[in-house]
Amino acid sequence: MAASEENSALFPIFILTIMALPLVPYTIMKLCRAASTKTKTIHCKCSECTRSGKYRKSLFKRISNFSTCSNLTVILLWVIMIFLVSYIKNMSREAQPFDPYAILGLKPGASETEIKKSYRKLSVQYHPDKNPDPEAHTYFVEFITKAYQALTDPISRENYEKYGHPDGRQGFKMGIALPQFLLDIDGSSGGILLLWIVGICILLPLVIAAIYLSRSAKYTGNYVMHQTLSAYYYFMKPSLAPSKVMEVFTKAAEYMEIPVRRTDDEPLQKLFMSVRSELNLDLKNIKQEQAKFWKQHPAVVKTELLIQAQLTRESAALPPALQGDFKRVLELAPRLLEELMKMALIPRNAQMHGWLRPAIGVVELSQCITQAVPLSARKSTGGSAEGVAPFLQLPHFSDSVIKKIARKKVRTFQDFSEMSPEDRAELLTQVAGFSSSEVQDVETVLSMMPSVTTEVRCETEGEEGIQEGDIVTVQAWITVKRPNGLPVGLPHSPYYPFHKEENYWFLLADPVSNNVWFSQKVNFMDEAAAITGASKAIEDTMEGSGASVKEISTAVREAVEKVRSGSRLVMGKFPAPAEGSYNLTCFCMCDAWIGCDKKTSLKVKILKRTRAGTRGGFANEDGLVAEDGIEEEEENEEEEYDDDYESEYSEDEEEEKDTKRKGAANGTVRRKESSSEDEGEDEE
Amino acid sequence: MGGGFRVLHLVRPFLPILPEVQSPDRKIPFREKATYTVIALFIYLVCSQLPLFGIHETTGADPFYWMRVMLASSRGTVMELGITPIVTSGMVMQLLAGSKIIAVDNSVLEDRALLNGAQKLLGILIAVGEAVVYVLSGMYGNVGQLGVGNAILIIIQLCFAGIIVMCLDELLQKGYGLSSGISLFIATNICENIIWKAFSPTTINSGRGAEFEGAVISLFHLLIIRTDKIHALREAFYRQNLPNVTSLLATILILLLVVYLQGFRVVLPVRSKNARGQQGSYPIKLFYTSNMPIILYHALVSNLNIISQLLSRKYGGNFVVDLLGQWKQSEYSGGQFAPVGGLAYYITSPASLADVAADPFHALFYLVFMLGACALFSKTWIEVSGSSARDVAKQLKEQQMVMPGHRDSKLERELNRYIPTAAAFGGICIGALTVLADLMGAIGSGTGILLAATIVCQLYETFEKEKARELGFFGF
Repeated sequence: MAASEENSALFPIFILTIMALPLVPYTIMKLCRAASTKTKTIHCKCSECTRSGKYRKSLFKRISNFSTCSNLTVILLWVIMIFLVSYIKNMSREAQPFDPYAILGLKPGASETEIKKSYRKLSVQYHPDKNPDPEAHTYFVEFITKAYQALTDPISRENYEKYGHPDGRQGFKMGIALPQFLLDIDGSSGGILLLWIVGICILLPLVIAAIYLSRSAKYTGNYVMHQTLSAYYYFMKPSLAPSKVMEVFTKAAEYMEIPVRRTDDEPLQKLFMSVRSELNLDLKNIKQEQAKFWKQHPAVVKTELLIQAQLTRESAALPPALQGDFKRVLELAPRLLEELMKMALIPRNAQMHGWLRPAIGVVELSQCITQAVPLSARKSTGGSAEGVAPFLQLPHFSDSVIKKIARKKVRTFQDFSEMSPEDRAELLTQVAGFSSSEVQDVETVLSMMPSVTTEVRCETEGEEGIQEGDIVTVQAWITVKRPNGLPVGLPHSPYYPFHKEENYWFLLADPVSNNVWFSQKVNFMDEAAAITGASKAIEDTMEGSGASVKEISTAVREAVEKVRSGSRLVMGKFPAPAEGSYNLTCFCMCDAWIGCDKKTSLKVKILKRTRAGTRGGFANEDGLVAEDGIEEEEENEEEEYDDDYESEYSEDEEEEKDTKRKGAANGTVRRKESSSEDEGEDEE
Repeated sequence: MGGGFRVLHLVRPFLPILPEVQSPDRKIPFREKATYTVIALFIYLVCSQLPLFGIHETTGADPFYWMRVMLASSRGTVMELGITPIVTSGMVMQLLAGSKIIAVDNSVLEDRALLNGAQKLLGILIAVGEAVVYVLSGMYGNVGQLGVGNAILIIIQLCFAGIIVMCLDELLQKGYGLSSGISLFIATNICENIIWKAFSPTTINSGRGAEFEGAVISLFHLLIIRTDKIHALREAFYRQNLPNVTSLLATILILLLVVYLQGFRVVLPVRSKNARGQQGSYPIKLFYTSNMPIILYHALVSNLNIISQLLSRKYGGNFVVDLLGQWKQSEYSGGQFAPVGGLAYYITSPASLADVAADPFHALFYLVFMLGACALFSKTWIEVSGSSARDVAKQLKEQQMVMPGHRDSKLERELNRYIPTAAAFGGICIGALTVLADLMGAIGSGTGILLAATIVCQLYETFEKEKARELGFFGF
């Protein structure tokens, strides 16, 4: 009985604690954030981007930024907490444990005389002779006399001090602060309760995990299907034009999963007519080509047409059913394009080089999809290599505007962006007939456009010059600057309906032989990760070259400063090919903006090998051997660690001698396993 | 050798019926590995909470109290045996293979499979054996009281739990998860203990009104209920018989200290002899032998404790037995026996600072013994486990790595400057941390916390490495 009464007051305390622990820090964090910074808008503020609705907040949110869902929850939880506190206080007042000091109105540890004084005072008030009220009588007998006795008798006082009860040590009474119904397993509803607990607490998580695992088995680490990757790998060819890249791109297994409905036929036919010019069909036998196009897998046809609809900005005319598919296609596109890029860059020849031309094609396709500019607009015309595509990404620009501007000798995008704002405004209003707000939009977008600078260094660490078969370290700093000074920003992309981040691909390539020597993706969004990554990379290199602690820390500090000011470090290694001079090009390509790509040339001279190679094999082989060496080192460390755990149970110290052999045996087994694993990877 | 009778072949008929985890046929992505690890943990946690069906009593002194930390077992639950079966069977098999009693050719696939099978079979046999011993020795009540049906049921449960743990360990080891199952379970067991002590909803009423067992919850409870807030705070921080906030803070402090000290290292630059530009570094950590010294120390002490306890119960009063240890049931912690004299007393940590003041010689002896033992174990361990300077030098040489500015032959000497020092000093540090944890009354024993902290640190490192590998890898 008593236990259940107590528990009804104690359970809220448990709940309260569990609630308060996350809630209080969260609230403080929120308040701090609200006080310190206003949210920075990093997306494009031109009228077209605003109209696209990507960044628009719902009306509810706009009324007051304050009443977001999470804020409301926080307030609600605080209200519940306050309620709980008052509830607990009320409950606990009724079930106070016996405390003689409190009854006599004294502080703990009061002296004998004080106790006597207080007792006398209270007895005047409550003694049955003075106070006829029967309640006072019981209170006097039950509490005041008992308290007085407990405190004046030396034994019981000591007992109280030691054990909390005048009669000495009381037995333990264990309970659990959960509501009664949860503990009532033997009762009538016990079976059902047990079922619930087993079902929700044990089976549900396991089932969810099992479903998750079985589904994720189809996907790689990047949430792209294995099937897609193998298709991409198979269809990727050393020299693919951007339009052909698109054909490979649409072969993704994800796109095959999008259903093709019978009702889609008609709108797709219509779409086909409007984008026909973009499809690269041979005009001479157009009939055959058309038939061939439609003979492809229906899902491929559909995807290709939908992407063309995006490129030619025809998506508004699509019926609702197709509109959904269209969105899905675009949502998957960045992820798939990234994988496609990786498949283009995957080592194909003995020197571990990837292919340059398809890689550039993929980036260009990505830019076109993001900006909704047809691939045909990229064909170089007149002075500019990029064609009219960069102009088309600006708001309010169309072919006719571009033609009008071209008449005024502004042919390339570079000319246009390097004009002073006044000249540009004049040109646009006078020649193209833009209104002042439209000019303002153009200026906003231009101020968002990044300009990239790269700083590349190739060397063999700790050696002079690069020789055949060396492991060459590339160290590149990529800096992005924008006219409006934002270090990070979301690109202007009014026709792309989803959140899109800017990614840069850094490629070190030899354009003559179509080989990519080194490649890496760079993202500017996550500064914290970039700082840790850069400082770790610098630290590792410095440690390897045996620098002192002080040198390392200054170098790391410099790197961190650089990252903060809007640069990113790209670091990597590649094996040096055969001797000779190479004219390499460093590409730094943005996957969202057209016309921001940066090319710099880099001369690398590779000398003949002077130090006698022990194996005299190919450069590549050496590289592999060295890498394996490192992996083995790691593996060894792990082995030591594992051995630790097995031998911790060598309960007798004499067994230690044997563990040595055991460790060795273990080591060989593991190494075998690891090598077989490596083979498995290579096969894939 | 060919032909002839081989002991290993005896296992062959059992291979098809032994549970086995298939090796992954593809590279498991990082998030999937994380999921598998979490599932394994979850299953382990459920098992270590599930009470055994059919037992009568689990009260009374727990003879294996001293070993629980390292065996990841919890009393009265399905996980009673913890990881003992796997660990023992693994140890025995390695011993047999190492001493050539059974011939194993590690290069032959079948041999390896057979060895694995033998290890598993032995593990199951050990689980059955231990379960039978537990039941017959009356750990769950008199066998007559239990009845044959219940006894068999208990044995089946324990045995089945042993098989589950074995499968989970194999799952994690075969590349589906991060780290090994054994260390993961030890760390989980300890962390679970700490979390429970901090947030337990259990209440205990010993005449003063109900009190929460969980330290944090009791802090809230006392603060709200008591009118005298300062008194309430003092009680929440210093209460004696139940976990208090001070010990929780001490635990956190120790954890942070371990994490901080984990980063201490000396880095030796190394470079490849035949591939130019292949530079690397060989870090020598302060905790070179990791948590090994305290594991060994703990194994020593707990074995001694168990033996001494058994002896003193049977032959209490004998001079030699008393010299080894005198035992008395303690008032708190559920009738657990605690040493009060003899060697066992002097090598067990003092319970609190008050005890230190009461018997400074005990504290001093304990400190000296502990630190000395840790340093010694650590130094011995590097020789035994093949991580001494000589072995490392050999390893580096095999990988064609040299230290710039030093000759090949000098490599060992250069390593010798650091490795033994790191090992001994690291051992002392670990020992000192354990003592510190014990004195501050950190939740769980000092050994437990240090074990958990080092394991979690290593797990975190593997985690980061895996993640980095995933990012660096092309798609596959």
